[in-house]
Amino acid sequence: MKKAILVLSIILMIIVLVQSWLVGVGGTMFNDRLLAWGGLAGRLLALLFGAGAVFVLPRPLVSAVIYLAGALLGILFGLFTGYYDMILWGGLALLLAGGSYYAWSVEGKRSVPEEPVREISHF
Amino acid sequence: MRRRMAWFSPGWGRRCKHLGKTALLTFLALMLAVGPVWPVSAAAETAQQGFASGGLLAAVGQAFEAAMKFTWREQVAGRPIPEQDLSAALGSLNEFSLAVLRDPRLAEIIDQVISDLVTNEELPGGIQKNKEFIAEIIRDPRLEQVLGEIIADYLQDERLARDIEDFFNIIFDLITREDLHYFIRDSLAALVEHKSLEKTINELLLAATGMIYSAGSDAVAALLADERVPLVISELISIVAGSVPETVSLLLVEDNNRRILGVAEDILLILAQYGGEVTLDILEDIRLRESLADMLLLVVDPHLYLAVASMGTGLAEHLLEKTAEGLTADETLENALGNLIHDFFMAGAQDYFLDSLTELIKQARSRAKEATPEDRRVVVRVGFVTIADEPALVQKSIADALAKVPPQIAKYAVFMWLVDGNPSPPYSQTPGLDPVPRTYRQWGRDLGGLLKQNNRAGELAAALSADLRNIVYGFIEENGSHISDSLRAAIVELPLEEAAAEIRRGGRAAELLRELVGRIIGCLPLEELAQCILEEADIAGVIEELSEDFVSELPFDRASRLLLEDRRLIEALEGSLPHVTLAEVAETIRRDERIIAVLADAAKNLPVDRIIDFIQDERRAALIGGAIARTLLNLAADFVADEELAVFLHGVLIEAINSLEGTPGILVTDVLSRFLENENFAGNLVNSLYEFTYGVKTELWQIYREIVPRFFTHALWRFI
Repeated sequence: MKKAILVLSIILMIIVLVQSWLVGVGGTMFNDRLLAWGGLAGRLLALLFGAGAVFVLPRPLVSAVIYLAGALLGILFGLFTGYYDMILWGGLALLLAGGSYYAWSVEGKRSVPEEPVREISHF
Repeated sequence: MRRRMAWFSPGWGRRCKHLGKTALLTFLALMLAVGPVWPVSAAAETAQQGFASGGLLAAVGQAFEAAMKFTWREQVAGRPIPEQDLSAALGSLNEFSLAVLRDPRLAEIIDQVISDLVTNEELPGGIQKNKEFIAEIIRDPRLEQVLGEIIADYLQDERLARDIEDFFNIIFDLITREDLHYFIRDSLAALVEHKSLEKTINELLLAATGMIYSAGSDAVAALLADERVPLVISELISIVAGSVPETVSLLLVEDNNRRILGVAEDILLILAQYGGEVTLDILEDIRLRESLADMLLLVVDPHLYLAVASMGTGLAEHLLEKTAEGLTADETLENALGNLIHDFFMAGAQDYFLDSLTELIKQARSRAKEATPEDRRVVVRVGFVTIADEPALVQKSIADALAKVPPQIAKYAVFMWLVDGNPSPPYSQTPGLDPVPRTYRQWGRDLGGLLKQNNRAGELAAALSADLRNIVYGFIEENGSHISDSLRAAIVELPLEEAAAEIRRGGRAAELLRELVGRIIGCLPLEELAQCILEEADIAGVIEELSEDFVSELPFDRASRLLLEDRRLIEALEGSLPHVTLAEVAETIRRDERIIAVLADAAKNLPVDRIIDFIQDERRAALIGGAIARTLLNLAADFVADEELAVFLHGVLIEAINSLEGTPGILVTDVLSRFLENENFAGNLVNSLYEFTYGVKTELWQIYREIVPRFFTHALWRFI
């Protein structure tokens, strides 16, 4: 589960990064300030995808929080900047956040509580 | 403890490997993301930078931007464009476009090109191939050649002359229309008052001034550093020095004897009556006393002339020595030489130099004229009759202008910069400058300063004294008896008793001295002495010898260095440059009615016949046709290279071919012809010219907004 989230995160990071770069350049070229800010937010979202991928294996809960932040960022900027694909990326980030949370919860249930070590005296 | 140790177990190593790879990818992504952040900040910066960015290119860019803004009616809330008038003017050119488009050769070649392309196996569908398809049609060299030929043929058509005349008639009429005046005037003013243009012009002025000054000062410095210049001046001094004996002889001729006598008497009287430091020195000098004693022995000594000669030479030597000392004690020598040289130059030397340099300029221009070829000829023909056939002489004109520059610089260098020291106030502050009086005096003062250095004046006086002594003694030895007889006769006639009595009484000493000197000098054969001096004296040689030292110490190097290093002149020049304020020019353009009059005059005087003849020349028509065809087709090909347009035009072509009644070429040209024949074409064209760039940019922006930020959403919806 966690490995699947890791791979998806990296693929999404690359796609969002390239698209956001194009959007940012276009916004600057045509003097469209909103579009330019949308591109910048998209690049930040791509970074958050990367950061989530970093923590998903050791700390899935941290990844879940990062993805959640990315989802909020993507949906907000997607609604107001004209960069509508950001809503899609925000939704996917939300899904990844759910996945990470699930992985963390499953991991918590599977872990066996440590038994106290009994010390046996040979004497 | 065991839990802690679990971090370092072998399983954790694999985790670290994953973590490392992920971190590396993230880092690369971070680099990619941070890089493109600049466009957003750059957008904000460029708006603020504005005119701060220097350079001609930036300024031209700004001017172009201003023109675009004006075109979009954002900058000037001026009068509306006289659309109807311009439409009428442009309408007269419709014939040209229609004649070209209806030419059967054009349709034929388009058919040929299209058929070649369609039969090509590498023409599958798709957007990319459509673009290439249309661009290939337009860029085909055959099309360019045929279109060029058609345009050339049309340019040579007799009907074109009438069209051009009509066009210019309409333009001339337009010139007198007020609306167009105001439009042109406002356009000019709006473009002129743009700040970047003003900055560019001022920068160009400064740069040009610096460049011209640097070139001129380098040339003059090179001239001054030339080792031949001191040689030229040495020759000049030798010529001047050669005239000194003649001057002396002039002083000694008979006509001047009386004046010399008067001067000598005056000197003696002054010496006797007024005294002063110099005279006291002389009177106290033992040699003077001896000379006076010798004079008292006149009556008893038969070798009187030798005593007189001794007295004369001794007195002369002493006087020269004292003169040298007295003159060099203060600024007297400098002032005297300054005045002398000033008079010398003003009396004719300046004219001589100016004439020489003018002659030099003439020769330089003549040589430049001979050295450059006649590069091209301008031939004006009406029909088969040649009205004018004259050489253009472009190279000759350039060479002629260049040939004038070095001698002019040399002239100014000789008269303004030869001697160290800049004028004060600077030349730039003295309009109609006349550097002559001050500079010549400065030369003289410098020579005086050189004379004072190392007791050169004393050396010159000693040399002159020695020469005089030798000459006088030699002369006396040869003419001793004659002088003796004359003096004896004179002295015999002297009223010695009366003189002695008067001296005792202390009364008529002055009259006595005057009479005494007059009689003595009157007996001397001065003319012969002058001749002797002329023949034997080597005064010129002495002066030349001394002048070599002067010339070697003239500050040529310093003057040259000064020219190169002294920034005062260029600073003064730059300071005196007018700062061009185009806002005022723009205001003047708006207010000044003369500009409109000038436009009207220019229109009236435009030689339409000449223009028609020029265009209809066979060779020129071919060149113009080729250039127009190439430009239009390349422009169209670039335009068509836009993907959306390519798709659109491809669709139009396919539909046209499908509904074909004639060939594709005829169809295309007919469509274009109908479009041009439309009555509103000219008006639409005028509007299109103004809105073309704005429209293209807006369209591209809309397309970009539609495609790039929604690409994946669209794809997803389609997939679903």
